[in-house]
Amino acid sequence: MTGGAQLAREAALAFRTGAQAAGNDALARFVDTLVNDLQSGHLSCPVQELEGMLNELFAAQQRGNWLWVADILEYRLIPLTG
Amino acid sequence: MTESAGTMRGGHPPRREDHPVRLAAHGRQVAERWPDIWQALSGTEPARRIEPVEDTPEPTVAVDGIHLCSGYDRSGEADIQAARVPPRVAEAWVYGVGSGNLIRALLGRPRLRKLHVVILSLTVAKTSLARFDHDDWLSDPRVELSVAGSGDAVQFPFAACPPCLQLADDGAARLRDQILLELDTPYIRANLRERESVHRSQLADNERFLAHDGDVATLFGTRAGSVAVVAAAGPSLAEHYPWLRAQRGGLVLIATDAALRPLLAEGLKPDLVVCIDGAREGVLPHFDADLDALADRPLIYFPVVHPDVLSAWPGPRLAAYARHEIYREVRGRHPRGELFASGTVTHAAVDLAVGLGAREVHLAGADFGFPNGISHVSGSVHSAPVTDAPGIGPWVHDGYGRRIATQANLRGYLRDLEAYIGAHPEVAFVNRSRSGAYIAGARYPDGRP
Repeated sequence: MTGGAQLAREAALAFRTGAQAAGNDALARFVDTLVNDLQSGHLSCPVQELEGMLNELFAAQQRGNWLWVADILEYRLIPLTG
Repeated sequence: MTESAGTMRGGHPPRREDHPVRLAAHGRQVAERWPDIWQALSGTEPARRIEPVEDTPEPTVAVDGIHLCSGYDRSGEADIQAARVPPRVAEAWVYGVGSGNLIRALLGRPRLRKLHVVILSLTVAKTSLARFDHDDWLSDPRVELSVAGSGDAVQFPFAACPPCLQLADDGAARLRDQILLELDTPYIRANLRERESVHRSQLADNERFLAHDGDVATLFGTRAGSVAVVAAAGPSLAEHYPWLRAQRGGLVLIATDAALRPLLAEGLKPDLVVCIDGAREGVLPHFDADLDALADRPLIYFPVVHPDVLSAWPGPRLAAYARHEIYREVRGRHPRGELFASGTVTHAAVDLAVGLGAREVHLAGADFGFPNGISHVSGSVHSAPVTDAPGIGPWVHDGYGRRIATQANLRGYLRDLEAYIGAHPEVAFVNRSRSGAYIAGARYPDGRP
């Protein structure tokens, strides 16, 4: 599992148990890793699809829809970004 | 592991036309065992927005934009949530009904003899009873169902259903906040441990000050029967400037570090200033003012603050310790009094006021939220606009019963202050403003709670 995927799983696990602070921290680190991987060319995936997922993720995060954030991370973003 | 929809373990949301039938069936079960709860549920208005989510492998439901469970693996999710409860306990608490899967996961443990299921939102519970299978746990004799009350305290061990925390009824808000604080505690502690090396280094640096500085305990009992005002840097502090000017001389004004500049800008000179935070960059700017007028006013500090803060103070300094392991050794060499603080300088300032012997402690600017769309009172270093609409992110009630936006940490500080107030019935606490958070145990200036 890549470092990014590990962080995504860590965030999803925290959100599912209601540990919001830990979840948001891991999520921020996951997004940082994602951006770095994209910029350095280590990540190749359909950018438009990724952008759509991230928009949905951030909207869910802002609403406090934590289980949906966890689902997007675990079942959509990890498969997409490897 | 994903179980297919429709299994007993996973449960399943029925088709839309099934809802009244399912709700009625569950209603009979609830009414038989807990008639008062069914009466409350019956009188509850449905959620404003209920949206079936059907484009996921396991259909779920969103209430007011919040998914009640995973759309991919409900039972796996419930197992993760249930893992918070140690495996061999005989009694546990579940906060929030959710989809029923968490309750089911815990009841799957043969050692469990009693499971307290606490409803945090009647609306969510009613929606769930209409949408998901709950037959099994509603008829399980080990289950005790209740509705969260405003005076409830968190019970242990517990597991919680995140969407029910997010959608908690107003009456369950305090309990919800306590639960969230518990859930965040491991993260908060880990963060504190990370900062501990910096604090230890600053503590070592500060021994040169400690050796000569005074002891906060010398202040204890010196203002018995007085009225003290704790000025914190919440936006509502500005409401109190005229009152503070009119009262000067008749009360003890204690400023938190962040409130110092705004008070000085209004010509208000605090009697005591409190600083406890070890972050140099965040704290030192609070002291970037003309401090000459404070040459006779003590700074009360925890010795983890940055040495530059101590050097900047023109007057006497009195050290205090928090009840924390980091001070264990230094206490032996430099015994000093103790102040309560659980994350915010406001706690320490309030405990100082109580330590002085104040019969009344007025809280000014202790908002624990963002009334009027700003984070801090104007003139405070960190004052910034806040655009979050109350209700989307974390919130607390203000003194009018309305929701105001806040941050999770502020909400935690508020609940810890309320617990402190509850432990000090000998002191009258007064919340000077209804604009900030409602503080349980503190009355308002008009005498009303």
